[in-house]
Amino acid sequence: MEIPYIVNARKDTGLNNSKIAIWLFLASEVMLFGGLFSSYIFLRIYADYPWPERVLPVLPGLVNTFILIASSVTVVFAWASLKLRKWGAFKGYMSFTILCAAVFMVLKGFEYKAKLTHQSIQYNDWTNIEGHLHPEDHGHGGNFYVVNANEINFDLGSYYDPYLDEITARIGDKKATAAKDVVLNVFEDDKLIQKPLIKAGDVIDLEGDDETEGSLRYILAKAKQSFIETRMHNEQVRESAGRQSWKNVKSNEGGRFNAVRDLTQYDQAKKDAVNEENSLILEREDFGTIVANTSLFKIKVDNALIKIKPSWGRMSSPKEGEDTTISLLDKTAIVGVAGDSGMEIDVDAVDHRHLVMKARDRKYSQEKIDGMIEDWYANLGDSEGAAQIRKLWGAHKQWRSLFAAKLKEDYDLDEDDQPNRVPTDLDMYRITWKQMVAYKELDYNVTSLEEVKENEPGMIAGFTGANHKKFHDSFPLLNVARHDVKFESVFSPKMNNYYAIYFTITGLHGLHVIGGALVLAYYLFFGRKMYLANPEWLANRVEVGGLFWHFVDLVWIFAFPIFYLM
Amino acid sequence: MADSPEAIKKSVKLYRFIGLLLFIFTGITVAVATIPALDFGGHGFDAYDAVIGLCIATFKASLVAVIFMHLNHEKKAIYWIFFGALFFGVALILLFALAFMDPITFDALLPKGVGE
Repeated sequence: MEIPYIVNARKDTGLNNSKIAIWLFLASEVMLFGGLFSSYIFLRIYADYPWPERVLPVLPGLVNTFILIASSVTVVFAWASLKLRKWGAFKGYMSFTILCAAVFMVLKGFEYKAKLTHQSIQYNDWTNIEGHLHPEDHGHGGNFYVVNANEINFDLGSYYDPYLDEITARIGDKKATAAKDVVLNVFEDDKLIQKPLIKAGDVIDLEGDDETEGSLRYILAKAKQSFIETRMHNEQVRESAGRQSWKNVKSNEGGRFNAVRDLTQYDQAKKDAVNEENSLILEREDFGTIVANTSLFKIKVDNALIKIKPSWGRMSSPKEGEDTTISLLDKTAIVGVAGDSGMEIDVDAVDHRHLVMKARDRKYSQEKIDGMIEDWYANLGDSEGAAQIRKLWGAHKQWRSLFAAKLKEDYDLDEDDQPNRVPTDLDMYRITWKQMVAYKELDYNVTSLEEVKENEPGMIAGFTGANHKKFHDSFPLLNVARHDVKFESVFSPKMNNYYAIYFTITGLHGLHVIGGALVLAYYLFFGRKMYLANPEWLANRVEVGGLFWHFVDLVWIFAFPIFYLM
Repeated sequence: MADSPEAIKKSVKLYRFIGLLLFIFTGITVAVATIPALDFGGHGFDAYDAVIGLCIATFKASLVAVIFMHLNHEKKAIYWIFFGALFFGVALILLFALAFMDPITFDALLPKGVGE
């Protein structure tokens, strides 16, 4: 059957199928993105943290805006070329459009990568530092809970193999022994047989798999099987005991509480069924008693240094030298003495705005807030990096007083003798990476705003944010003790709602770019046949693909100012 | 819809001009957000900047929709589909206004000094 209105319009609507279909689809897209932008507004209104306004590097977003606008123009040129029957021009414009889509996605990739390798650490006093975390192979870098373990408790019901592999690899050559005797409960023909598996003090092979006798994985697998069987046995014992006691109640109370018998007065068949079931229980009365069992298997290790990713669990007391327990998500508990779980980070921003926000909520005076900030710097320690950060703060205080004076001079005072314009919290309480570079160049002595401006890196040097390659020396190295940390995260959706909605909207938009580019590429590479059959046919298709492409551009026209400029 | 070759050639010129306008207004959006001398309202980001930025974005989006997406001469059915959806899209965006009707959190959202 021939499908009507593929090329030609229906008389009543004046539209062909694909045109009406794409507009229906765009209608649903309008509401989808409308909902997402609505979420953005909600999240921003109710944010209980300083909204990261104007923190994204503008240049990649700006370039991407230009690229999308240019591609919107060329896609409509491609359509016009088909209308004018110029196949060569169509190919040229369409290729450029697809190239634009590719460049857009590459830039997006650079942006995402910069975010996902950029770390933020929040101190217990709500001060935030941002920077690059040193990798694990770099001294005691990386982001780990470190413990000198002497006891590890596995939960037989829930231990997780990847965690187990990591733990045994970290224990390495250190000796591991069983902490207690382990006896397996085996039920053969409903009779309990107990088989010793391992004795306290026996050395455990950490490397063998679950078929190597005497290895940790073998013991855990066997003990888990026994644990499950024992539980099932106990369940059955409890169940039959429960049924028996209910039966006793039934006979002792003369049926007063017996809903079953009341029911069966009217239903002989049901009564028979209940009686039959009761007789089965009676036969199983000698089934056995509840068997003691444990869900845990504990090993002792000799002071093994174990590092665990923080996302795997929580550490009870992270202060170096204190007794601590790391509880993993699979209920494994690693007990020992806390090691140095600090993080080495090249700091490229210091931000006190969250601290200031919390302090203002508590109605603290400005003096007290300033004192709290000074305390943070005083408690950083004696390292070279800490000294550098203190110098940065000194320079920043000089800068912000110069800046406040300039705003006062430029915009004058209002009728109440208050300055019309004052530095924002962003100016006051955040040292940006560009300022860090400039302050270092000026040897931490700021005497004029122009000097700082001149020494700040330009848009190109900071294309996707702090440039650690070029300005490495400007960023102080800090060793952050774990017990000072309230929260740490890379700039991913985990960080806060701003980054969650940022990744949601830009990610969904990026998928639209890829999808649109694929459709347009199909017309470019496989459209020749359609063009030769009926040029108007391909023109209609390209118009429809173009409509989608313009919509993708349209979403970005809003996303760009909202995320990058507001 | 412009279908004759002359009309198409004419509209290509229009597309080029609209493209240029979009570039210029993108530049303006960035300029008002980054150049202190063009900072409306108080210093730094505030409601003025939000309104100006969104107005420019809406204007740019309208250019794209009206010219590139041919909404300036479309069939009736398309208008019903698109503007019907736009109505709900905008309604969704304005949903946050409902939050201000909540008597419990209403006070917390008011600017300082209002309603005290």
